Amino acid sequence: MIFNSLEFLVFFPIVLLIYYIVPKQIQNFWLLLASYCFYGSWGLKYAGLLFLITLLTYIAGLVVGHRSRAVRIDPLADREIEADFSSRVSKKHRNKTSKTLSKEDQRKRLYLALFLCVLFGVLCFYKYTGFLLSNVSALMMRLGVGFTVSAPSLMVPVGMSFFVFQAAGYLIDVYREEMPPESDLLRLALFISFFPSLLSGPIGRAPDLIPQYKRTRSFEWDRFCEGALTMLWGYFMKLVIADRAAILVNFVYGNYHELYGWTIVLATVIYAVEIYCDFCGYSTIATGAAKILGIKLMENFDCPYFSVSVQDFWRRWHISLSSWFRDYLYFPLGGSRCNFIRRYFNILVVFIVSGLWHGSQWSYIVWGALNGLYQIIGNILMPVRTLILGIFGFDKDVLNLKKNPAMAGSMKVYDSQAPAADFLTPWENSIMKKKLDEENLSRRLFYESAVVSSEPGEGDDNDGRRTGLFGMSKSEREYDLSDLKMGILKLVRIMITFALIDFSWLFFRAAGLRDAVLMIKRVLGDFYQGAFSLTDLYNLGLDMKNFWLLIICCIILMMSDYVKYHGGNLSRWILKRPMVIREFIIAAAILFVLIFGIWGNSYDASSFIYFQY
Amino acid sequence: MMPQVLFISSIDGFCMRIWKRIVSLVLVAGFVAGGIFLGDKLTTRGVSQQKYVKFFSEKQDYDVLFYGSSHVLSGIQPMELWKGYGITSYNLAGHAASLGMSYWVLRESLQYHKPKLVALDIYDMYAFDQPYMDISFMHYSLDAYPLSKLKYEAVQDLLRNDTTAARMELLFPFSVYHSRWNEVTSDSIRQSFDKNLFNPYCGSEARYGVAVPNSIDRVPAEDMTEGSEGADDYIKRFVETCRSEGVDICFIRVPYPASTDNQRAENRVLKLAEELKVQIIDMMYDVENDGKLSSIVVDWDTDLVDPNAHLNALGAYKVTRFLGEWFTRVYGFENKLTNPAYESWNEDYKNVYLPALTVDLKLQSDFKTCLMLAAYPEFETELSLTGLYKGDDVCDKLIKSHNDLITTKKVTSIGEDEIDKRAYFDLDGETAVTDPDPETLAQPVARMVVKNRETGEVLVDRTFFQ
Repeated sequence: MIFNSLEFLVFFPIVLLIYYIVPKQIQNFWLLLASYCFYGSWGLKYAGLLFLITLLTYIAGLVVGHRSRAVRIDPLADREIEADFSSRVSKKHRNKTSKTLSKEDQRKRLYLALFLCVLFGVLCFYKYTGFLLSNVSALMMRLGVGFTVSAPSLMVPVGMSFFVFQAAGYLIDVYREEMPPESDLLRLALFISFFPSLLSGPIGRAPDLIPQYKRTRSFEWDRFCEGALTMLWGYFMKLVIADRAAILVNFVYGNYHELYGWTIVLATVIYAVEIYCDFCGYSTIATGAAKILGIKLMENFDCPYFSVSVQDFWRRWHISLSSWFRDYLYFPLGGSRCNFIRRYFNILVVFIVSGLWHGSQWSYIVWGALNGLYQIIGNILMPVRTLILGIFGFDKDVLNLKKNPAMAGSMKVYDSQAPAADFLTPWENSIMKKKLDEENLSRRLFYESAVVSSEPGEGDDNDGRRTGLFGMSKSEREYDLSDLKMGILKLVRIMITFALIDFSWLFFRAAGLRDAVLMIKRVLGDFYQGAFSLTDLYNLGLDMKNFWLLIICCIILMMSDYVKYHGGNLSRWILKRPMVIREFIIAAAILFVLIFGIWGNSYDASSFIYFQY
Repeated sequence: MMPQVLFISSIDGFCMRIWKRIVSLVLVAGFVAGGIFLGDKLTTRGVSQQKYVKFFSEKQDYDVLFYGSSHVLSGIQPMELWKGYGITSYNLAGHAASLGMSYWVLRESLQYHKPKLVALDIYDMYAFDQPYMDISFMHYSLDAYPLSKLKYEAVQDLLRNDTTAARMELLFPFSVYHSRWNEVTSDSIRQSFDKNLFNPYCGSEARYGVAVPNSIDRVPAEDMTEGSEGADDYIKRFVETCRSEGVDICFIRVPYPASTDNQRAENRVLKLAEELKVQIIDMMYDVENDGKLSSIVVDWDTDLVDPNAHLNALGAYKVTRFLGEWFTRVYGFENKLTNPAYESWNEDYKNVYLPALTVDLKLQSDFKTCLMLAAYPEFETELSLTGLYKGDDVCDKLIKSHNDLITTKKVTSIGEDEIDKRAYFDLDGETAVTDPDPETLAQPVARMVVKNRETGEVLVDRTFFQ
């Protein structure tokens, strides 16, 4: 079962209806049952594997979290809660070195390592056995050793990379005493197998999600409407844009040896749209479905193609995975608090592992390494870039996103575990508000000292952190030349970042490393001959009307991201319209997806790109 | 008093909120349903609907309904049955329709009309594991029928081994047709709402062209394949359904150059029909006994549109006339040509069928096809041939077989004044030179003028080069 299948469109309303009818005490049980049905539709043995991993995680959590000092959060009883989402305990714990660890902590660390080895071992067994054996065979052949091993044909259980990472994150959080171990197996099982995020994320965090499963959830009309609209937007991204773009991309990538280089460039640009809409579409549907069920999932994408640097891009793209790697791999490796060689090494390791997470192919590893190298080279060249920008009159901190919020744009989701206000209990709200106020104050101080800056606009969310796409926001003062300069600089940076990221997508999408190299050669050697005609565009799998529909939809997507980047919220805007207009807009949106979406019997519904990971 | 007022006003507020939400949902559902209805109307292919418009709207019950595959579709012309014998009929056959599909179309159609007789073609009954059929062809036979319990049962049965999505495709054709949004034009929109757009041939589809098959050995009647449980079951259910509805049933064997395998399968059906006491109209009955497959109705050399399967319009005309004779003699159907209750049939013949046939005729450029169409008694044809004309055996056969429907005259040449401003074709129908050249051999060799027999209106005036 998958979000854009007919089965899900029947399954979800039934689950929803019963979910809000049954007594609140068994809501979690019902959700768990539904989640296992959802996953079991892919094969009962998969559901069995999921259960075993859950059981292992449960036991491991209890062992690793034995005598945990983390505070058990009871939102109803303890309003003066000490622990917030960046737990002081964990920070203290993180700073401990192995020399300062007590025997008890050393034992916990050992158990954690053991359980993580088992978890990741299972994942690696399914994902990388074939890759490893085929490479060993190839190496042996090259060395002249007559040793070949046939790779077993292992089917990777769908969504395994996601739920294993989620389970591993929980164990590390328990070890770090971010949270106490979960003693309720049902609740933990639901955390790991919650069906909206089970197959392709977002990879949830236990300190964020488990407390939500502790609360009872009632039906709320406004939340239902917002969730439904979010789902609709996800379907638009997936069915109308991603699947339409895929037709052109598949055609070009499948026949690149017969096509000119410009078609490869075009297809790669469109692939950037496809993969964004495909994956973000899935995450958006998941988020919307969860919202209807009263669960707030982490936002997975935040206008990634408006990023001004590769580093910025990875804060906005697949946030749940990026932040997972940041918190559970990059920081433990030393993060950026070490010498520059070690820092660059850490970055490279994280991105190569990220590449491997996406697939057992050399092209994925190259893709990951390329993204790591972009950041390393960017860092090395920072003085040169600053010098050049200085010639144009820019401040030395103009490229620093923290010191120049005008360049940063939306920073809302940097705190990846921050729940939205509408799901917070009063005690959480007060903590959040306090945190936001502190952040705003520090930002404002930076902002006021910046040479080129912008005021927070009227339409800003509530905290003034959003600064406009091109560094310019609506304000009472007149725009001056420095605003324009900042806008141009930001636009140039966005375009350069997009070009770099898009180049790396070529490796991601190509059938293999060899194909990727051949395609680059084709672009460089045989870009185009003769006069260009628009009709050439229509021979790439999409006819004229479909091609232009795709372009129009991309513009709609860009406009929507632009609004979001500025802190706007389209769905809330729609829901605030007068009744008939609002219902008309919603119905028109549904019809748009139904008519222009690529769906139906001839369509392969199991084609979400991120399902293979 | 105050708390009571507050309580009532909060109840009112709650009711109002619920009421608003219900209205919201109804509005969205209404807009979406309306949009889907409109979208469905604009994007649907419509061939199925066009086929069934007349069938659904007919007030009188039919004498005969025909079921089967494309052999029946192109092999029987209900309007000729009407014109020649005053028998009302409708062709409910479908492209590549399996036996299973014919059974379900029978069930659906009997909800609208109870005919006196049902005729089912026996072609391909054992060809596949019934009810196998390509889903794209299923739309032609089923789309016109509204969603109902019976249609649901039909889809469940016909696609029993297929996916839910495939079933949904048949139950809600919008799920596939929505992708035709890029084919919507102002013309197609106009056609979508045009109630006068329907199949003018009472469900059948005339085919034009002439092809000659290879000679095929006849398989003896006792040589037959083993039956398949699925097919036997459908045949029995088909017969039972007709009988339970009080409708007479017969099997027909529409002529075609059947392979030996097909013949064996048909021998099996003929035997089963005997067991079930179903009458058979076998138009490939062996009368010549020369060991070769032949038909008592059609001529293989002139009456097929493709060498392996389908009858052309001339073949269909002959088969229809044969069936008309048979139905009149054996079943005693009354000739209703002059019955005032059936006046609409005469009007349809005159105002719908004949104009459609004329349009088809005007579209033809192949010499043999034009000759073939001259078989219809509605037309009279004048054929001028010069000494340079060298027709093949098929052309000669076609000309001779039409007797007095064609007037042939020999001429020395076809004058330039006569050929001015006309298109030129070679005898195969390919567009030829645009300007005859007396210096070369590029001279016209034949001219065909086809007129409406009743009005004398010239419908076609073609000039052909060798």
